[in-house]
Amino acid sequence: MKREVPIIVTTVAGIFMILEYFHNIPGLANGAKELQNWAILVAAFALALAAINLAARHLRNITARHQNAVHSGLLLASMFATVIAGIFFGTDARAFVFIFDNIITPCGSAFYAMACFHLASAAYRAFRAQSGQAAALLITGIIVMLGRAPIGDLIHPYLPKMATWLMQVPNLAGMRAIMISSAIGMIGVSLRIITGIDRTHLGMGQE
Amino acid sequence: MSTDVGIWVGALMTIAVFSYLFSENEFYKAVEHIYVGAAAGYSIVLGFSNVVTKGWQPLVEGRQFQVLIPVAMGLMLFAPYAGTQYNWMRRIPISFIVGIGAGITIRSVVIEQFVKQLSATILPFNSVNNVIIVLGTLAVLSYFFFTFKPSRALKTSAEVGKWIIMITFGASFGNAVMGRISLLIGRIDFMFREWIHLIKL
Repeated sequence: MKREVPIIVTTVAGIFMILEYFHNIPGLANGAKELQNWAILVAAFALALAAINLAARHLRNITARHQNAVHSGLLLASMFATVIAGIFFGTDARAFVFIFDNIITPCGSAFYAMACFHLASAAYRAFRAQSGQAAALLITGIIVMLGRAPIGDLIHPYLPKMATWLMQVPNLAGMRAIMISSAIGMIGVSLRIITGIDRTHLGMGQE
Repeated sequence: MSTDVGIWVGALMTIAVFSYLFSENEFYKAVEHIYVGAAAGYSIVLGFSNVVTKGWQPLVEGRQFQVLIPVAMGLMLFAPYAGTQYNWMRRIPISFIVGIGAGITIRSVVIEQFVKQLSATILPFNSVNNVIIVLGTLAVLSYFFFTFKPSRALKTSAEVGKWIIMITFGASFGNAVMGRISLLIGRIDFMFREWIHLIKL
């Protein structure tokens, strides 16, 4: 029972969602909507579990006077401040909006922006035009980067047009084929999960 | 200079993050942990809001007792805390979420990513661009045939596909870099315009 029930739950939930979408059976639409709401609710409990684990991990750091104890304290302080502001005062409260606008948004943007330095550094080390195909990758990357910047137009007026053509024609063909291939892969994996062939998410391996 | 506390906080946080480019330092580590904590807190607030709107309100105000089923499944996630003999119980909510996810994946992927992409690829051969798009897509698809030994024609097609894939990766790389650079410009603009008021335009 401990092995079979989870597989049955997966199969029934998956088939129900597929049937509702591809067949116009009365009553299924409401049922599918209800199941999606249930999934959101279960996911919220999973989030609570993750929060408890995170808090416990950092509380252990503090009580054990770990070298990162101060950082753990900062993490817990900012987490609880956000939770208290959002849950007790509402998501429209000034404190919650302040945290979102002045901590989460600027830090998120700065972390993503910093990735451009890492990308440049990685590109410098990895990009070597050792073959024709590697050269194609390198040249396309340079054309797209220059063509999308104001300096590209100053270097040559044809550069932005070339970047646009590369994005709209060969890049479109490549991306489309990758999307179609990944779609086939995703359908295959989903079917394996629904039919119970793939049970790795339950820690049972494959059969 | 700005007198707004929020702008000062945002600017100092931005400087702390960029200080990592020089070397990892205490200022950076502190801001990194504050950010992770705030982002985790934000997710918890969103999760709590979902529990209220999709669990508490339907149960208390709408008397929809079927909501107790997902609540019970949610509580099953905590079963291992009661003892290792209850570890198996957490498989039920996980399998439910995975089943729903797999079903939704098939629903969306079949139409949006498969049928629509295929139909958009079937173009008339009335321009060079259309020919490149159609033959390029087929060439890249042929590169992904791994289930049987390729014939000579398929090998040639796969080789062309490799070239197209390389161009695609190059274009994606260029796009990714430009996206990050525009974010960087946004942060620098914020610092010089809103914080120290050096840009007045």
